[in-house]
Amino acid sequence: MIVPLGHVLILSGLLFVAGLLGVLLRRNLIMILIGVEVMLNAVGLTLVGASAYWRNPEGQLFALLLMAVAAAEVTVALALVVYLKRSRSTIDVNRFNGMQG
Amino acid sequence: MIWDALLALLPFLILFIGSVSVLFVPERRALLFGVFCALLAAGFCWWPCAPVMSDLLLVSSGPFARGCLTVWALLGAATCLLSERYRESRRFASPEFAALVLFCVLGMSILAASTSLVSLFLGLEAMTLAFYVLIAFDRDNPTGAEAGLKYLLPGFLASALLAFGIALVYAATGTFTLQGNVSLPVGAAMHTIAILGWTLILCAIAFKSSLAPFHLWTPDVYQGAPAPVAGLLASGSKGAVFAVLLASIPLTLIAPMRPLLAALAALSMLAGTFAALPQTNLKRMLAYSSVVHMGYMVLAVLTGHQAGLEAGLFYLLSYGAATVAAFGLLASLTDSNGEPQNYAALEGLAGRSPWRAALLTLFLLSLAGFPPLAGFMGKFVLFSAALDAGYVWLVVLALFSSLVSCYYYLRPVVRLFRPSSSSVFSVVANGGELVVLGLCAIIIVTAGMYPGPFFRLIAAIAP
Repeated sequence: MIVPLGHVLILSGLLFVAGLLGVLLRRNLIMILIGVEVMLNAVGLTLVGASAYWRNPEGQLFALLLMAVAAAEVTVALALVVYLKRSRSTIDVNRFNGMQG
Repeated sequence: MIWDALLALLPFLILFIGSVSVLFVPERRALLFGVFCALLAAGFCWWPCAPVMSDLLLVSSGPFARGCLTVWALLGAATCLLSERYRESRRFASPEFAALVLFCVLGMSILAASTSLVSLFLGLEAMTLAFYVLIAFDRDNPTGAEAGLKYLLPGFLASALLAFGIALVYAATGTFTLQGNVSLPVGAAMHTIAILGWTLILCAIAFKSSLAPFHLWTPDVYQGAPAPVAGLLASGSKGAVFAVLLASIPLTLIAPMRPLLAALAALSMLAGTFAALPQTNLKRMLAYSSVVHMGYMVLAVLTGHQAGLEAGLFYLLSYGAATVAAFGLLASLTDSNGEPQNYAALEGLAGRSPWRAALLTLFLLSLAGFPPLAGFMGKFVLFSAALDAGYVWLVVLALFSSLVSCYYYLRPVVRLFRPSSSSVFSVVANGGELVVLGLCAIIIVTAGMYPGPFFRLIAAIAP
């Protein structure tokens, strides 16, 4: 393996933290979804790197599976975003505070 | 070979084919068709099949997986039966609803049967994807979409954490199978990576099973979701997560995880108890109390071994039956104005519908752990197993929180039997609701008074 596993893990860890910060700090729903996508891509990078390190294809297969799952998740999420935008005419998550107690 | 594999997967295939074909069933029969498919899958679980190499299929076909599948399928059938009223009064699109419930049951079954981290991820995602839609299903309810959003965002975060945790564990060990993963790799760097991975997986599981401090989404989601969906969410999804945690991932074998689990348990008991005290909405109260119950379940995970597993499964059964029944009772009181969630709306129910008031009292008392009901027996067995394993301070905390829980469970009960001036006519329960509520009441009373057969059954299916 040309690139050592440690470097791959550091890069994907940084990507994951960047995505996590995006999820936690942004208030716009679309930006939060993009943050989650960045996190999932960091996972894919880790899987492919580890797969090359251990010399077995399972990790790459799981990375492919992960893309499919992420696509399905985003489909549902975007449908909900459209629904919320139509019914409440906002996608700022701080505005959704109808339930208290 | 291929027939053996297909036969081993038959219950999963029935659920999957059922969830697709229910979309072509007419509106009026769709929910009943969903019930039929779930019961069929539960029945075919016990069709004898040759043991198949589980690493070939990613899901086990052992008795534990089959027992879990039966329970989840029954829960799915109960959800469909309880939703019949919503189809009439809230204009639910019943084919889609039944399809999503079956898909959700499929996810839970894969989750509980998983032998690899890949199928664990897939099962959890299948279940969660169905729940995202189910929670926001009631379009007439203004809080439904908001509840969907409040489940979506933590759910997304949890699945990203779970995926990263799995990737780190794979990077450290080079395998996805659950059996090979519990022993930590040698070498300091790989050891740290594996511990980090398991911690992230535990965080994701805590999100899904709403353990404090990851429980903040729970009350809002329960309040906004339709009552049958909230019942399935509270019993089935949490039960499936804990079935994995109890049977397939012996996290307590990893010594550094133990203080983390103990902290989660203690925090859940305290935070849930104190947040439940001032509630005046039955669904929110049940949400916070479920956080406390999940804290007790972590106690079973910590206890480990056979004793912890059996006590945990029995507790899960008693908690699940009482929770589904409590939400189902709320569903049976729903009319076109919505669910009577507030204690004020439930006031004087004993005068309007005595048997429903009595049943709700029974379910709440079982959750609080009054003898001779199932909740008491579950707590007794669980706490004594944890005491034997040496978790004295956690058991003391659990006893304290279940003592305090009597207050918030009895508050709505007192309101039920108070005479009220309002002359609201309560709706009549239909046949499906009677069956579900009656079965749950029978399970709760029998498991409390005569728990022997239940323990024998659990010991027979335990891995």
